Amino acid sequence: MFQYQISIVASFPLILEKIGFSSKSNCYMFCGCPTIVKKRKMSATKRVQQWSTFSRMWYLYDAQWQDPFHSAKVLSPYLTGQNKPIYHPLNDCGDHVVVINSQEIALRGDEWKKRVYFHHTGYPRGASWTLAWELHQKDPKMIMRKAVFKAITSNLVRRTCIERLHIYPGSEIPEEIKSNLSGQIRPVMPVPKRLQEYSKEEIENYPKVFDFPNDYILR
Amino acid sequence: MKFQAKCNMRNQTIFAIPTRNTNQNTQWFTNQNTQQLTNRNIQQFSNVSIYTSITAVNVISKRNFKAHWVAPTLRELKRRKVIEDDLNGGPKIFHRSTFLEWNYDAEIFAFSNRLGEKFNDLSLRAALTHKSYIERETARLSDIGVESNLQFQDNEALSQKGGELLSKFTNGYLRAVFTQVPEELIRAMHDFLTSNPTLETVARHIGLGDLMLCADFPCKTETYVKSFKAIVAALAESSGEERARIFVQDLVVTQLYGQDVNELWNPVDPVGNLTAILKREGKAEPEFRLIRQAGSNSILGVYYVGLYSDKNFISEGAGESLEVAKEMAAREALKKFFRTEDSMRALPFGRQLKNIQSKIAQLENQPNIPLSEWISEKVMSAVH
Repeated sequence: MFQYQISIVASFPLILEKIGFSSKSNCYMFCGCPTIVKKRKMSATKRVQQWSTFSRMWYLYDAQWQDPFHSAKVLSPYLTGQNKPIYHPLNDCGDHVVVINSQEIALRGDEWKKRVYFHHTGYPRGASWTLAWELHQKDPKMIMRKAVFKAITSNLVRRTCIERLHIYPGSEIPEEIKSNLSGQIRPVMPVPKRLQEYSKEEIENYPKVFDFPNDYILR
Repeated sequence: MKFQAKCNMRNQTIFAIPTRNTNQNTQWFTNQNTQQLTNRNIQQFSNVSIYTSITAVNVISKRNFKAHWVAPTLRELKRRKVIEDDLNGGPKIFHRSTFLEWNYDAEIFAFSNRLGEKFNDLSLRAALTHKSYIERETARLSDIGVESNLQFQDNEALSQKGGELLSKFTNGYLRAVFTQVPEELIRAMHDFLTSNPTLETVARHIGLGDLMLCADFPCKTETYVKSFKAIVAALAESSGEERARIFVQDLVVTQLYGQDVNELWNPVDPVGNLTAILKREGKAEPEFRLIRQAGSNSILGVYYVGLYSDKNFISEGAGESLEVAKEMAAREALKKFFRTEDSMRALPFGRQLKNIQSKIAQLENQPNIPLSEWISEKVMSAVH
């Protein structure tokens, strides 16, 4: 498809610990700084280099207890391809992002009650104002999607980029999407560990400054 | 208003001939002094640098000012010229010798100076003279009725010898620099360097187009190549084989610069060859492992396959499918063995070859190991 020979100035090999969901590495797979040299038949090596440079990454993002608006700010560069040195607004080098647990997002303060989403059908008396909690009940993916859509700069490629955002309300992902995944984006806010998630040994061995004596009866 | 620089001598063209880096300054020749150029007079120009010459240059400069109503006429003339040229198969081209102040003796002299080499006059002239030219001249003279006792010597023998020398010198260089590479790749690189297109490019760029005496114009590829080979032989005759070797290194072998040598040749079955090499070296069989992948279900899927031998990482290859990635990994491994990766050291030229010229001469007749017997213990350590 591509006939332009791209000269790669620097390559950044990525090392993933294991296939899929390692949270350590979040970089693009293989990139270099291209300059279009001339149109000629490519050698096998150059062809393969070209292919891997322009390949798309598939990232997983767990939106559990995350602020969708802050997350959107983090996810939009991946969708537009601004994390890559080959980025150009017209290059269409954006990656795919798969968001799971969008049902479990966390809005700040009283935003669930106060944030309102406006919609107009275009017809008279077609205006509607929907509160965030109502919208989330109707469709748990919408808040996330709208947040990311707004975070991407308003331009003609935005619609293409948002197509590459795949949101799932729970943690189930279809097999065909799951097999595409190649990386993970670190959550924006650290997810605290709930008491139920601690094992009995951990609780017992947890360092304590003080503890009640054994025969003390708590009222 | 017309502006015209005042000059004493009209119709004078100045040609500056840049020289090769042999510590000789650029020399400017005007038609006045080319006639007088002999070995004696060179001294007075030998210290002249390009900058001091500019003040001595006589140039006609004219501001191209034409009234605006002339434009449509000129446009029409150009349009007609283009159509006529297309009908005739291209614009008319003239040999440089048909222009004013063509001085073949001066050009010959300038040629050798430009290259920084010393040629025997007779050898050089013979190298540039083609059989077709001699035949044409004798026929022409016999048509007139003049007896042709032309003492021209053609370049057939010289080009033959030159071709052999060229082959020898390129092989010597390649084997000395690419010590790890199998003979098949050396041969491919040699064939590329001594191919007609490459030699024609070199010949054109050193100005043989104007100097050759041949019947065909525009000159054919074979004519250029023949002349160039003859030049090499003439140089070997005049200044010795050592200088001819350096000449070939500087002009011909440099055409390899920027060329991916793996494009010229790569083994048909890289996986098989790699397995054979590892077996010969007593190492474990190659093991291919998937390192990373993205978009396996999509059309833009990419796979990275790593090659391991006894759990030691050798190389990595990418591809749109597992098979392609596997083959690329094997190819990368072979490139690593032969030291021809993209990140390989730049080819040495010029001063960097000073200490290994003797080694190059020695390896001219000593082929590298063929791929079927390649083993890393046998190859010599890198020269540079």
